[in-house]
Amino acid sequence: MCIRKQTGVLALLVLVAFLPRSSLAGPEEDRLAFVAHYQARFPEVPLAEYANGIYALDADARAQWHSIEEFPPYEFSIERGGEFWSAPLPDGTHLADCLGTEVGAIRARHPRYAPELGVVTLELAINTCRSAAGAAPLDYSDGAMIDLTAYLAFESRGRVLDTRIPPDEPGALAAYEAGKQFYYSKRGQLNFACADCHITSVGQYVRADRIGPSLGHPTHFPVYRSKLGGMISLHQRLYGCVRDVRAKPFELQSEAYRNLEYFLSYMSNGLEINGPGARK
Amino acid sequence: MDRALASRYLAAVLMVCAGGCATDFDQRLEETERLRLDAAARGYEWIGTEGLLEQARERAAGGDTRAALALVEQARFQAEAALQQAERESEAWKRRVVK
Repeated sequence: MCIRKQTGVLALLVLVAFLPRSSLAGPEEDRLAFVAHYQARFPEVPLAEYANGIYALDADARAQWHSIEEFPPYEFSIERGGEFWSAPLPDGTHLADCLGTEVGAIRARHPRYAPELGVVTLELAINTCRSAAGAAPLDYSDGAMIDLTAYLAFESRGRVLDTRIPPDEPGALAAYEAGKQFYYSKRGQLNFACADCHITSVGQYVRADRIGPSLGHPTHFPVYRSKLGGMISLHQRLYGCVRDVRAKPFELQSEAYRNLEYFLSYMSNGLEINGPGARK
Repeated sequence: MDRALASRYLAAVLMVCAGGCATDFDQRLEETERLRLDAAARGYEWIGTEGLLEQARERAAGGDTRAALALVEQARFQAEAALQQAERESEAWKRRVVK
């Protein structure tokens, strides 16, 4: 009996040892593997540098970026965002009454999970507060929304991403898993997954530009894009990527993109928030 | 007399063909639209499919049923490929997860 029991335990241990690491590993295991992948690929790049996106990998682009940062093209956006932040809402309250008076902490708390809303991004939180105060929600590609998030990102500079997946909220883990599945799934006529570019081909050239790492992607949005001559949100960037692989893009702040942001933000936990940023 | 009869016969044949072609088109369009919506519901719709169907409707409304059907066939190819992609990726994505 005792021998049979020991044999059973031994068989179980052997089975566990030889099981392939599951694609459904926990978020923290995923994050550690994600970070390890980039560190193995670019051993000369310090982890904290990934908050700078492609500038962590490309010295020429980094030099150009430093020049751009002498007169940051997003400064006006921050200024306007500060004004929107201070403006009273129709019921006389302010966004601070809803989102919190410690301005620097707000960006760092998002995205988060709420059972009634799913993944709550900063943009969704702003519009939820506006609606509660009797104001019309802002369009997610609207300049005012981008300016507000630029202001809040700027106020959060120096803090680190701390995306949480509460263990007592099964919906949070489900949202994270949905974002993870999206990230690794091929779609569109080009049959590309996010991971094909940003994991497998990271650092490679696409015409004149190098592909940036996903690690650190969410830290610097919204960004001023020189080629567009304006600011864009993270979801506008995701929209562009999905369109570029010839899949029909999802709406900004759709559940698909919010889940993807949740996954990407969790992967970048511990990296410094340095938005708004400037990119080609 | 014979010539007039032949003309009327030809016109009748063309009318029947046009009616048949239109019926084929409507059915094919409906089926393809359903496939496109299935792909969309799974989050896998391709970018050009809806536009091809829109063009097909315009061509059909203008009477060019043959061109309309060709556009529907292109859209159908895309919608079916998108659905195959969705089916394949429901498991295939797991093999790409960084471990």
